[in-house]
Amino acid sequence: MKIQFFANIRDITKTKEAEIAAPENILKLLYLVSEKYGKEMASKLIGADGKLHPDMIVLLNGRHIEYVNGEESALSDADTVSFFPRIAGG
Amino acid sequence: MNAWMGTILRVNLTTGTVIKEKLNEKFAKDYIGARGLGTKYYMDEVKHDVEPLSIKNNLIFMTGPLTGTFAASSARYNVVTKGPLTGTIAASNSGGVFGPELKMAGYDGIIFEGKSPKPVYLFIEDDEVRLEDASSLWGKTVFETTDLLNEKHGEDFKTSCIGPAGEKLVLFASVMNDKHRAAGRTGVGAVMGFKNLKAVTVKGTKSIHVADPKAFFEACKDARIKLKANPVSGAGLPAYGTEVLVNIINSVGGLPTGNWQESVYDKADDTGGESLVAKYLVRNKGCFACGIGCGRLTKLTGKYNEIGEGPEYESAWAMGADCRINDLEAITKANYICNEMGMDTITMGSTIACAMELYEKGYLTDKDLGGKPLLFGDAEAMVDFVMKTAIREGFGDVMALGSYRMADKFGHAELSMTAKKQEMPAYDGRAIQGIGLNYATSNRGGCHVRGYTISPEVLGLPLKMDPFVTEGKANILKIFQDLTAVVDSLGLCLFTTFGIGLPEIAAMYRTATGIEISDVELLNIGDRIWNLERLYNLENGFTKADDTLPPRLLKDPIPAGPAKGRVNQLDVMLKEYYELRGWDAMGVPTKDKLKALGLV
Repeated sequence: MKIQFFANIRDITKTKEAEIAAPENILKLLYLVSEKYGKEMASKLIGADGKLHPDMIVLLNGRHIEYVNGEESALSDADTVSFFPRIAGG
Repeated sequence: MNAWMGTILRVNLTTGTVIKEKLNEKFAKDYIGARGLGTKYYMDEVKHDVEPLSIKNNLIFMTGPLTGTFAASSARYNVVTKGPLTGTIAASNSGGVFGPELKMAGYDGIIFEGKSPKPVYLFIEDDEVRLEDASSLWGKTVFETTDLLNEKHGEDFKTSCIGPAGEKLVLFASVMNDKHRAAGRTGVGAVMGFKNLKAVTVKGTKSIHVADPKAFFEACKDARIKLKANPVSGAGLPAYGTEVLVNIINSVGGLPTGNWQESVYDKADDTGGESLVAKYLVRNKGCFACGIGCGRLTKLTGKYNEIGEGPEYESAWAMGADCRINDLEAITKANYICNEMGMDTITMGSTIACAMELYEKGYLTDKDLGGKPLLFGDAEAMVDFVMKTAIREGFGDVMALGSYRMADKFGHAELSMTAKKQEMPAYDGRAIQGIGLNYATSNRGGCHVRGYTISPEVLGLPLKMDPFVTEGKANILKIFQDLTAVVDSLGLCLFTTFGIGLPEIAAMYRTATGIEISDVELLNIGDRIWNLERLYNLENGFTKADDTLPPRLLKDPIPAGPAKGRVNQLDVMLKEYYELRGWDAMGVPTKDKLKALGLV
């Protein structure tokens, strides 16, 4: 599957995107990505409760995971997951 | 009065007279300032059927009670008139330092009447106010005009002016202040140009008095702490500016591409905030009293080799994805030209994108365009046509009318991506339902900052709403539209609402003005302002039929991406919206509603 990084998340990963084998679901992906990119990434991705950090926006194939199945959303190798910090503009 | 300065300047450009008059306190209490107050003055003094570019039209610069105070991001002033692009009420606001300077000179606003027989500018140094000859400034760019006025009067003077586009009555000319800040939309700069008014230059040294300085300071401090702690206003916007939106809007499948034929651009990342920071950012720039600093001072190092500001997100989209252009240097150069010539970047880029589709479909020919093709993706042609439009050269003279009139001239108005003849900004209303309703109902035509539902629909602020569904969108939009009317009228930047809400805003208003008003009552003033603007448009013949979107958004499903197959379901949302507004089925405010708002 493809994982994409934006804004200050990209500053940590030093890459725009990467290909990895799809884990079972989004929650497992969070831990996989945290392990791959280190402590700073983990602090951005995972909140104090061990789940997705509230300041992160995670899209699964362009859909906010909340409108799929949250952290339980199932993943396959054909999927794209995008990681954004809480941002705005306009 | 506290927070307001209590004085309005009335400038008759026909006779050359300047009168200082007392601010109408009832107007100020009922409509706050800036957008609301300016609109009230305008509607009371100008017949609704006035031609925008005529001697009988007025042009109003108005600050708000919080403009120029310690309140965070309190830099805004509004330019109010009838928009030549839309024929609607036009209130276009801008930041920088000009608005605060005008207020510190002792004035809440300026009402310009008539038309000067020759180019003039308004000089203001506290109590000294006079019209001066601007013949030597006519034809100068925004940057040149600002520099020349600073050379003549001193560096402390802040200038709001038009560029050549305003002089030449480009229908989407902007009023520019502090060189790079724009009251950009609806064509207010053309009204200024018609009046032969080149600039307003001002220096102010007075204090703005607030009712309870200690409580006001505490209210402002509370707001500032919250803005600093907020991940958006405290980190995201300062780091990447508004351009950071390119990738997320593209990722959700809502980035209009190729004149809205698609909603995903495969080269979007080349044009995003991350690329701008990596390649061209010199440093951030903030407006008066702003801790966010979303402005971008940029430097082009390639063939353009210039320093300027921007682009913002919507500008980068209009001249980027909408034209299928991923050359960020060319996009930034086009943005610079719009700033120095004084034009709205959104309408400019969208008009070029529309022309590209007209050409692609064979409705425009090489001959129409002056002998050259205009293909999607042609960055050089895009930059060239921006300049040609500003000086109305060749086909630029047609582009100067905006995309609706241009496309209509060639028999295909349906290819103009406009609402009420103003180009919609960078969010596809098919992929993000609520923003479509906002475009359709915006009182000044296609516009995102009248009710920015992107916040809940994409960014999850202050709550998450599914962009695909219609449920709840009318309700959240009404709240956003009313709150935005309050924020605009106070003189605050809309970006403060990413970090603070009505309670913090109302606390600043109460302590600054001394007016005891509940949070809900303040929001109700926003409702009153919204309805006042609506009444103006209805008087001008706008009907329910105008609360609509281009056929492409209603009938043509998005061809690919996360929102594939979707159209905007406007009918469903519009019915509910009218009901929530207290309007009848035709979108006309009921007598009971108007009575409740004090509008009859």
